[in-house]
Amino acid sequence: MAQIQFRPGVPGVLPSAWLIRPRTGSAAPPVLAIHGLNRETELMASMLEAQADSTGRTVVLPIFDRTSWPRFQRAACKQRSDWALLALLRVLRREGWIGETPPDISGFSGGAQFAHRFTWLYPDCAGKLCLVAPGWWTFPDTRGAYPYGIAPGDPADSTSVFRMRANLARFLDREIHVMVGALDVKQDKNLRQDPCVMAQQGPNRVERARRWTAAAIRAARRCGLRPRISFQLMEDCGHSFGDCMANGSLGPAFVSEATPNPLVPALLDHHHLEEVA
Amino acid sequence: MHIVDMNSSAAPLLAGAKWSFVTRRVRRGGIRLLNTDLTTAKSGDLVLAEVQAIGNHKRLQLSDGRYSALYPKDRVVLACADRFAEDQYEGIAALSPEGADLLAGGGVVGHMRSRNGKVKNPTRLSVIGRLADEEEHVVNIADYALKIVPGPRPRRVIGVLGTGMNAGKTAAAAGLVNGFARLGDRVAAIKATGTGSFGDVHSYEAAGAAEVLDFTDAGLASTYRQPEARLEDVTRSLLAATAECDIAIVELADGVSQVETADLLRRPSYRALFDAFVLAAPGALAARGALHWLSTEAEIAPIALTGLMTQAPLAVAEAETLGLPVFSREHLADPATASCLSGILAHRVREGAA
Repeated sequence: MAQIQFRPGVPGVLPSAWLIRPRTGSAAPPVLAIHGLNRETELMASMLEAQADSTGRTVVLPIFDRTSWPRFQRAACKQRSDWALLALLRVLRREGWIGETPPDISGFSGGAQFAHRFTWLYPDCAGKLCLVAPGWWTFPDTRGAYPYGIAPGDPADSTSVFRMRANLARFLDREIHVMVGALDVKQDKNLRQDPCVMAQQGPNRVERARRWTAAAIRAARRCGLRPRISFQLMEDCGHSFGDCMANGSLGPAFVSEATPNPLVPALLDHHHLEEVA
Repeated sequence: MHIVDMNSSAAPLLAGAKWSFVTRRVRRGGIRLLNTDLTTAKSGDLVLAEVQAIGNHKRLQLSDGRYSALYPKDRVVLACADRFAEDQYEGIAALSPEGADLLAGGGVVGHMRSRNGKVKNPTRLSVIGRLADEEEHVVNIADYALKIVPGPRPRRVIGVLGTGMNAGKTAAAAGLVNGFARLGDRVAAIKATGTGSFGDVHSYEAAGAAEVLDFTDAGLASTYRQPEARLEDVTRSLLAATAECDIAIVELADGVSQVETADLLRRPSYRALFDAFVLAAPGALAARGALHWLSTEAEIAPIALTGLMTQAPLAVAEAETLGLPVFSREHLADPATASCLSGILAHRVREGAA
């Protein structure tokens, strides 16, 4: 079996992390698996162990603890969880856990929020993205003011807006696989329900994921890219990482084969995407 | 010739002398003689002087990076050179038996031609002589310049320009250095023109630069009144010396319309050393004027604005109407901004190659 190791961090400086090293070492780029707001990293690590072995990929699960990074999902938040992840990657490279190749990033719920925003800020620091059931998104268009979209809003955000707009094409120029449980339609306490979000993004995670995927495809085309952005609805799954792993197809997508992902074309929900787009 | 054998009567003159920042590359063991003929002094010559009256500069930047307070009768080792500083002095590389002026705290001695009304007269020096080797060759800091073979430059080069002195160029350069270093890049910081001073060098080092060089490493105590072709060679050489870095941040002194800076920026071969420029300004109107100058005189379109104006939100709002992003030093020191600028640079490199 794969070896799971806990690497302690430094509060507020360097996140702790679970590190899963596959039984057979591999030169494949690692996968960063980003937890949600409940921070169930131990559970995630145990569930991803077999997938690390079967793909031969090192999996890194950073732990953005509640005290140091309470709003880590925003990435460029006050506590700068993006800087913390950059620091962790630097340390793991120095210690030989991972190589120089940018990692693929997968995130569940709040972790998917972080994953898409981090990759948007640092397009060269990430490979493929697997974004699962985030509560709300930053949309790649101007239908919402930042952070809901990239339209100018608060003058204090002008630098953030500039960075996101300047990085847009580089962000979208990658495989992005969006997933959500078909039953993930409850308006729970972790789902942002501001009127503007409800209107722009939809009433639940399923609708929000669909709308974001369609918007991302449109934005990629506007950037002159051939979109590699796909959407998958996981049947019989709610808002639970465990359910999605057990009942859905989350495992092979969350820690996918390092070669071009064979799952994606087969799992595309083309019909719905065309409707929304 | 007026040569004094340092091994006999003149040697005590050098003992205990304070060696200034601009002399830091000189191997002191090679100095044997003192040349007291001051009429042929040229820029870069090593000068032994004695402090007579303390003026504007009350401290000397030492070769080891520390300040040393100056006292009357201190012996100091300096470099003869020109000086251009709107907020201090204009001076030329000339020495006289009647005395000379400390033109810059980094260790530049010469003859003051004019001074800003807000500053005192320069610290006054008596020139003991120029330092020479055993073959009677007057030592020049160019003798100890980096031996550089022309070669490639770092993969990406950003130039930091300003509207004038104290526009915020060094803070911006240091911010860029820090942002790219924290993004994971190996960053070179280069001061390409100006007057030798350890302040800029220290700022770059503090920001995390992996390599720090300035024109004194290329053999110039000051770049004022130097031929533009030589200055281009200096920048080219310093870039070649840092070619192993991922990116170089290159600061040019003074304002874009300062004579040497302007001449350099007008040269297509010089501009070709850079992938992009940022412009530091103390206010929006100054930025507007500099952008116009750069566009019409040098075909340069900076990718961002920065500088002292970013301390004032109202000035930032006005500057943003110029159509460029306005980054504070803190923004520039953010790896997220470095990431964004990386993309812009890559796009420019691709377009340039196309």
